[in-house]
Amino acid sequence: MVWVVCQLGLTPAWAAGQAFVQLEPDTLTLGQTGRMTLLMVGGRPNAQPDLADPDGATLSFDSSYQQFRSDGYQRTLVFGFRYRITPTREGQVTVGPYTLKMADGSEVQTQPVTLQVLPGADSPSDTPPIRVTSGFGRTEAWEGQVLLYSLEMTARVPVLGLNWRLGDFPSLTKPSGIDNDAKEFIVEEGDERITVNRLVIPYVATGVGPLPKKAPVASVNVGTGRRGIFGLQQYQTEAVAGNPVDLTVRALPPAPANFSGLIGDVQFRSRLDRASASVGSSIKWTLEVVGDANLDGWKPPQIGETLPVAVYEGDSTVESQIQQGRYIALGRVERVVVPTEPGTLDLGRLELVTFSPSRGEYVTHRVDVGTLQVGGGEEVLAEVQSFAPTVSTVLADEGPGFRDNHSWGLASRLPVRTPLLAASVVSAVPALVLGWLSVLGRVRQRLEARAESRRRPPTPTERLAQLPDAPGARLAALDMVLRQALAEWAGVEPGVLDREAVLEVLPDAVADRVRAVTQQLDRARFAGGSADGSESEVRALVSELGAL
Amino acid sequence: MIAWFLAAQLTWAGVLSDGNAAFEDGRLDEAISLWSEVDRPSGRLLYNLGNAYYRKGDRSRALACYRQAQRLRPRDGHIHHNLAMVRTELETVAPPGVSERAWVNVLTPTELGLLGLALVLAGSGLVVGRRTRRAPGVAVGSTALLAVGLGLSVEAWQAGGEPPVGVVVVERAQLRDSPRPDGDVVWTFNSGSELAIEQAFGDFRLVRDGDGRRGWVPQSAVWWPGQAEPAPAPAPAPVPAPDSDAPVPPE
Repeated sequence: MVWVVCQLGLTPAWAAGQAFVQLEPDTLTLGQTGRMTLLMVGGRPNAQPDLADPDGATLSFDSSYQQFRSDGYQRTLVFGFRYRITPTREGQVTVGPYTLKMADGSEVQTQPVTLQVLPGADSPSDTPPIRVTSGFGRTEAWEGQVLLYSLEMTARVPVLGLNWRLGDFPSLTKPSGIDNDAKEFIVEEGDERITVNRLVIPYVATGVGPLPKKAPVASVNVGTGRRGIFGLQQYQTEAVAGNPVDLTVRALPPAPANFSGLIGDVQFRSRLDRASASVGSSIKWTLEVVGDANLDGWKPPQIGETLPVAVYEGDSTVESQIQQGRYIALGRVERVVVPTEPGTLDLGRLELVTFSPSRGEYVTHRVDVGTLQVGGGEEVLAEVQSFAPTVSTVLADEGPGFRDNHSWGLASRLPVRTPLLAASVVSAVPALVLGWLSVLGRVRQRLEARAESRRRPPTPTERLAQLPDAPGARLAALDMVLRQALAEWAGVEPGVLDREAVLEVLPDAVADRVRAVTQQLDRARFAGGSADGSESEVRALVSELGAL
Repeated sequence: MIAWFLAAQLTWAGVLSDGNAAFEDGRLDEAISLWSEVDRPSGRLLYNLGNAYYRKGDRSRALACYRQAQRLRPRDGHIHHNLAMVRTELETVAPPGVSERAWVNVLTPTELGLLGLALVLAGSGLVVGRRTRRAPGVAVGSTALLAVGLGLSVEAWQAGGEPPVGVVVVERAQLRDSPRPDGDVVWTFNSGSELAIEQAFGDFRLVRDGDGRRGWVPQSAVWWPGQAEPAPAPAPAPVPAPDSDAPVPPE
């Protein structure tokens, strides 16, 4: 394993003059375009980097930015250059290393990173609009090993508000001091923009046996393509399940007596801050361990127990991160060594036994603590102050995206819930009253019209609508209707109608037709004549008389 | 009502900025205390209160504050952002959608109520205007405006009275089928689960989660802004001396 602590950004403060390449995402399908960011930290580039295309991919410059990163009291200038990366073949594509010139003439080099390129789908219909993949990336693990549970949702449609529902894993616990790694990428595929949400959750296997085969569920609001109120995109909630968990945790083999408790592939490095010192002076010894083991609460064995030195506890720090889909932890333990006798002081060798999951066996690491040349000096009791662990109030990490407070606005809000409803009801009262009065008025008009029609005799037209069926009665009714129509035309009561006088003043054509139909009706009623056509003629005359 | 509102603003004037000053100085407890005293807190204040809890490391209470702030300011991107961040950190297991109303993601109940009132006023205006000037279709249009406006007003009123959303602040909260400590456990909620608080009974709260589970959890297990912190258990009553005149409670 390369000593990649600085490269992974695990140092508390960014070291000056470094460059990194980040791929977002680090896996693409052939035909897709992802993002690559070149970060130059702690130094100013002399020009925009001109990066050569890696073998198997093309790069095109997209944009650049610069920002300050704060870490405690230290602020570091960071230059970022964004590129679009499009693979041209399947397989692994190595991006970098790139050698870059800084403005001060120095050169920095990036570590190579690997882009995984998968074969492309035959057609877009091969891939569903939303796809969820999940898993631990392995089917077996060892008790105590740190595992990364990766969840990824790929959406080819607009989505909002992703929420993961995971099953309970009773035999897994969350390690302290490390957060989930959540990222969102945009991948281009032709004209299509694909959103990739990736969540990586670190766990420590604390129990043995198979895990429940539960599948995670991504609950997400998916754009329907329809516009709702105010033209806003409408969403509906959809749940998509990932892959069921398939992992079995194996128990560790019987441990040797000097097992350090570390389970993971790790490396150690020991360092004395100087090679020579005088009696009574303080020398700082640092032991660093880096790897994928859970370092919570880990302490190295004592050193110099049988030697002419006094050893005091110093600071201990553990940092862990998920970088490029890998878990990596850095533990740093400090001791202060104070020689009490002059001479050559060999501080000996530490034997640290760890369990390597990749090899499936216990591994012994031998670490030389170092040798000190101790000169004469005053034999005084050393006072160690500067290396004591500092006590400070630790606030929770706010994370990179924590949004600040609102600095202005009202503290309290108006109780408008019921008043608004009351105002609406009150506002509706005039309209409701007027509407009710209008309805009442119409009902009253109809009732009055109906009563009026009941009070007066029926009009000729109304009588025509109610003719009796019996032939004789029907002919009599027709005669009566004609008589009433003539009376109404003349403006007299039917009882006092002088038919001949009225016919004298009627237009001749109408009068002749009245005479003719009257005679036909009389013959039909009293002399057995035919009444054919008389009813239609009466109806026509009633209509014409009404119109005259 | 306006007078009440002005009086309230005078009472709480400066609370937001005073709390912000304490927040920036790292005096988080003081900021939380200041902001928690406000009656009917605004969305901005609840968001800041959530930030204070978040910074203090109390993700669950931060989530509860953000959740209530989101109801009052549904289009505030800051609230959405921090809410999403807290949910991710807490790995919230219950789906967030306790309310079944989709429009609450866009509008506040007050805004919907104002929209309803505007429609009612427009409908009323048309009805009254129709008395003097008749136009075709006015009756149908005014009736529709009135009906929709009144409907929106009632909907807004009902949404404004939705139960608060509490968040589980203990590591595990057991959901029981009755409000008794010995009730049957039907489910267990993890810290950070979001629950609609429907009813109170003694030291228990009737809750409902996004999957429709209902049951009782201890009051001390859930928290939402405006809910008092659980009071310490009262000291046992002194046992009266045998010759005391005080009544002895039955066994």
